Amino acid sequence: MKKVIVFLMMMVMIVATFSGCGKKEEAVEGKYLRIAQEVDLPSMDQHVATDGLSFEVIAATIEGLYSVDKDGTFIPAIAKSYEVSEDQLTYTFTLRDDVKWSNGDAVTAADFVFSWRRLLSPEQASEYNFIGGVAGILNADKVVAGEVPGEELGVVAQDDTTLVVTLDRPVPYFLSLTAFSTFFPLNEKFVTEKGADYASSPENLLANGPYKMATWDKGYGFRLDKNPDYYDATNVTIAGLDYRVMKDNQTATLEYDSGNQDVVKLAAELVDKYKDNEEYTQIESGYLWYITPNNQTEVFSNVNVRKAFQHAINKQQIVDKILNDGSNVANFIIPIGLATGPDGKDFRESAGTYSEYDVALAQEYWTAAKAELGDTIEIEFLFDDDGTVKKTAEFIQAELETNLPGIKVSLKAQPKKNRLDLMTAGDYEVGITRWGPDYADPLTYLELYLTGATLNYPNYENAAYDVLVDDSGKGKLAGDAQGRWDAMIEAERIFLEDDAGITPLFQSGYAFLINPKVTGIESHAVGVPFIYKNVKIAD
Amino acid sequence: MLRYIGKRLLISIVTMFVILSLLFLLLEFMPGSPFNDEKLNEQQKELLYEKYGLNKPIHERFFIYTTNILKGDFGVSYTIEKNAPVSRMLETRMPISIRLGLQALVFGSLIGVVLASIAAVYKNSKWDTMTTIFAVIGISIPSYVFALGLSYFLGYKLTLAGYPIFPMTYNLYRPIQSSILPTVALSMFVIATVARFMRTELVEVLGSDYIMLAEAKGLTAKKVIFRHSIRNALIPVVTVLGPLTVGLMTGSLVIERIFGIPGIGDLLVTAISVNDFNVVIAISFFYSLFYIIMALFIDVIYGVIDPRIRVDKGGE
Amino acid sequence: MNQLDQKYDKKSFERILNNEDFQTDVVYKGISFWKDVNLRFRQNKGAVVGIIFILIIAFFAFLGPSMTTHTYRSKVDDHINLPARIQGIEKLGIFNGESNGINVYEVRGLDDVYYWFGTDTLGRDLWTRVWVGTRVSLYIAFLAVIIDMFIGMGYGLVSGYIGGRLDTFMQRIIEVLSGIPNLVIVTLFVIVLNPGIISISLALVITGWIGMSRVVRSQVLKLKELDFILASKTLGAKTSTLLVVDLLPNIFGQVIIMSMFSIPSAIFYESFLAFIGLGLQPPLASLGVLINDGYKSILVYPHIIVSPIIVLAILMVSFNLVADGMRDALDPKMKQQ
Repeated sequence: MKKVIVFLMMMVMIVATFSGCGKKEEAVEGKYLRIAQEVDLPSMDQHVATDGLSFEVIAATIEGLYSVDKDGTFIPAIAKSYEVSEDQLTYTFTLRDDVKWSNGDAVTAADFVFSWRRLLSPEQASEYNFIGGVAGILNADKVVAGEVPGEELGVVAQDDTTLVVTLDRPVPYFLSLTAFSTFFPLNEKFVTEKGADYASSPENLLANGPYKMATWDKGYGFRLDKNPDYYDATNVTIAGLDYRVMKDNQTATLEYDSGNQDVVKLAAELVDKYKDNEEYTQIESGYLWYITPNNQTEVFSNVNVRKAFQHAINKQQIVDKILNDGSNVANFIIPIGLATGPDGKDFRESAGTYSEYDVALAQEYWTAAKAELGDTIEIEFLFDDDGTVKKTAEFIQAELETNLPGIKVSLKAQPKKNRLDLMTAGDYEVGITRWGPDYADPLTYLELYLTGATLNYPNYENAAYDVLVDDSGKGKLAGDAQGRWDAMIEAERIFLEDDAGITPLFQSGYAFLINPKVTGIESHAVGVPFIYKNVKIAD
Repeated sequence: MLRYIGKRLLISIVTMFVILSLLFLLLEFMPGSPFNDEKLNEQQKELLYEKYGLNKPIHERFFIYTTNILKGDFGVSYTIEKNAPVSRMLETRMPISIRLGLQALVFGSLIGVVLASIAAVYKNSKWDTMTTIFAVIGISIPSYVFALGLSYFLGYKLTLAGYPIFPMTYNLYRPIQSSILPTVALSMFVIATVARFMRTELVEVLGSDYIMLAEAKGLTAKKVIFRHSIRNALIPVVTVLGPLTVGLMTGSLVIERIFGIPGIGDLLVTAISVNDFNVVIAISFFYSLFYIIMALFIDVIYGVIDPRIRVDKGGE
Repeated sequence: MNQLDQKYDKKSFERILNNEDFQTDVVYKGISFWKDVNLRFRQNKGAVVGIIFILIIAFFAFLGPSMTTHTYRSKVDDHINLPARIQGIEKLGIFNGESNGINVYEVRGLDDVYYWFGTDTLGRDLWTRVWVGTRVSLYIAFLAVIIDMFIGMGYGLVSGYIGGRLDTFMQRIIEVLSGIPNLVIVTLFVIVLNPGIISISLALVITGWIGMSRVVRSQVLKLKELDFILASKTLGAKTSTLLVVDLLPNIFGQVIIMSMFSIPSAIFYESFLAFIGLGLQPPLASLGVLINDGYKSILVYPHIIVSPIIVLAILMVSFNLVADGMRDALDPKMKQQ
């Protein structure tokens, strides 16, 4: 018996020893915006990061040439102004001369050149290096492929405050990319000195923006303090941002309810409890969710089946009852608020809507389809093993079986990475997928469905569509703003109306609880998701 | 005995080797890559594979990895904490998981022993039934429901009522106070295990001749239980608790998610689902190591509890 | 020897009791082992209550779904998230369709609508879903016990009794199996196998028996050193006889407890498998899946999770009470007390 007691006492001692390893709490003063996050912060290195949270935090600490205001208009940041040459191929940026890194060094044009070369260098192997080609920077793709050295990239620091960028074709959305984290500057001396340790902890980071990183407890949270050296520091009114990783939405909400958090993302299931409250906020995102039928399979090569699908599902019900988070019904593929045309109007205002819910129409197409394919049609529906997606899939299954007599839908849940593998290989019949925009132009969606493209999950093939999209991208319409705009509107119409290539479902939104005292959180459907520079917290 | 332990340790090296190679092989078949599959083209993937040495043949990678482990290098994370050395990731997370696990073990065992003793002494009474029901409900209600319930009623409701005794979630800066609720939630399974297995064994022990002798000698019930019975009822409990302890120490996905604890249970599951191979291998490595040591420890402790048991004895 | 030769005089002893009754041996009627087990089991109140509850749940599992007009997959879009409401009982103030003091049915104008357990977030009847789910979970429970009994017990008996090198080898296999994260294996299963009962069974077979085999082994290690095994061996019993006739009955207590432990684990494991796409495919749901789904909205619509949890808890408590009763009834040593 004594041994047991000794054993237990030893255990208690071990426990006590470990208990001692908690961190000392630092006394912080001032008002912090406390944000609950569902995921860890994967990286603070802008050329390694690939996710929204990383981009958002990097953008809170580093500024680029341009920034975005709350309405999505591009406003000067480190660049004071820019000039475009007549052929739209050369951009000359004039930089402010009062911007400093947090180690005291000045931010110069050379910092941009270093950063952009680093982004595209094959050794860095950034997962976002395709964006150089998207931006049309001269030789970007060749640098990535290692065909030419980084020095031949079309970006030059003429002097400390003049940056000249040469493009290989007119790119109407080029300016929007300069507000994206990937294109932010880096201090060459600091980054080279830190080497592999760069961005691994607050000491290994530099800031030139409104905030700088103060603590980073991996997997637990991190804190950004106001950067006193920021050139616009007078307009930053809060003490900083305090992020906490909370993967369970319900406890995060409880923390919010008891006043320990200011910003919490709400799960669809919890919306009902809060949707009438003042703090309930819906934020639009650029993600488009859609049903992708594999056009190469026997059933879905039939255009009538695809059209019947487009009209048979009550999307409003999905948006209202299942998602319940501010998502909008999508009868299109280019999301609302993604891109503004030469006329200053949103793409959606100029383009039409397709694939609206209409059971009678759906059944008409369905009857036609059955005449060609036979009376009973069995399909297998592929989707991710994620809670909300699963519910959506169950709903769609029930909708299809109710509205399209004779169809039998079996559901196939798979881990996401496997779902992607199956779709890429074309080894599926029909499924749900989504796409988020990389840049503020309809092409980020339209290029997906080019014949033979890797991400052409529906395996869509249409020569006319290909021509329209190619022309408005790198082809002959590249310099003709209105012409390419019309071409893209037409391409979307062919894809959705004529061919029913996919069935759009909804443009996702996020439901948030935001403390009513907090104002000035700016959200964007494309690029940096949240900008916190102008946040104010009332007393 | 020492020779036996030495032999077992030698075998353990082989076992670890087998586990690692099997794991390497299995991960090879996982769908997708550790990188952002949706946005990357083949050329980019090649660059990344080149950068992380993933384009080498599997046996070569295995050799490099195992030799690196001997140097304490578990590679870098590809996805979760991009480019961070895995050893550094575990450095902060593992102590938290181990501490919570041990706390739950100690707390759960104490409560479990008490429940088991009550149940065994008052066998077939309503006390017995009640402890059984308590223990069974402890394992029938999934831990996430129980954990959220604790956080809701003891954390949230008490705070609202003006008694912020238990933080709703874990707090890195107040590790003791904020680990109470997670510890209780984690210990439910331990309580149930100890209570149930020990009761069964105690009932048997209490009915045996030597306990009757002790009773006949006039020892009190308490003395009978604590001096003579518990030790003899320990074998099944130790058998079940051993692997359970390893599981507790390597973190629980559910408890970590609900209480926002930066431990390795959640890390492992996330790593598997995003193909962060090095993290998966490193955590599995430590899990296996703990498990193997625990198995050895248990086999040795059998002999201590009941000297008649000789695991090191040869076969029949 | 002297003592034996001592003589005594019969007259020095006097008979003091002459009543014949004291000399009659009472011959009890012989009771067969199973009759005895049955008798002892029935005396155990807990076990009897457990049996009754299991029968009630089994009854509803078979007939419950046909008591309503709904099926487990039919959804009514206007009827989502309704709390429980039962005719008659609603007047007592419970099961009256109220949530936070508001009668949700009346607010939505559903006066004559009754869902006994309420509806879920898609507007499906929870009563039917819970009982259909109970069927699935009962099957999983059965499967878990079978796997425990055959694979786990067999493995443990052999490993513990034969011992030596074989034991060392068999235990290392267990270490290898435990060392590889289950999720890795299961993810690979998802790719290769089609979802369904067979896949669930296979996933359970991989590691579901390890706990049992360890418990059995530990018990065998202890028991095989005892005298009665030696006696049996000396009398020439074969190894198989030894294992089945001598060892098995003596480890039954722990075996029963262990198999009862593996039931809830298996039920929740199945819900996890369903989640990643290896279990039964929706809309078919087991108790575990229902609990999993209900958890997400527990703070808003607690009724969704309450019914499956209660059914599962009652089922588990009953199983365990019955198991305890069975253990006591089967234990030959308990007869003395």
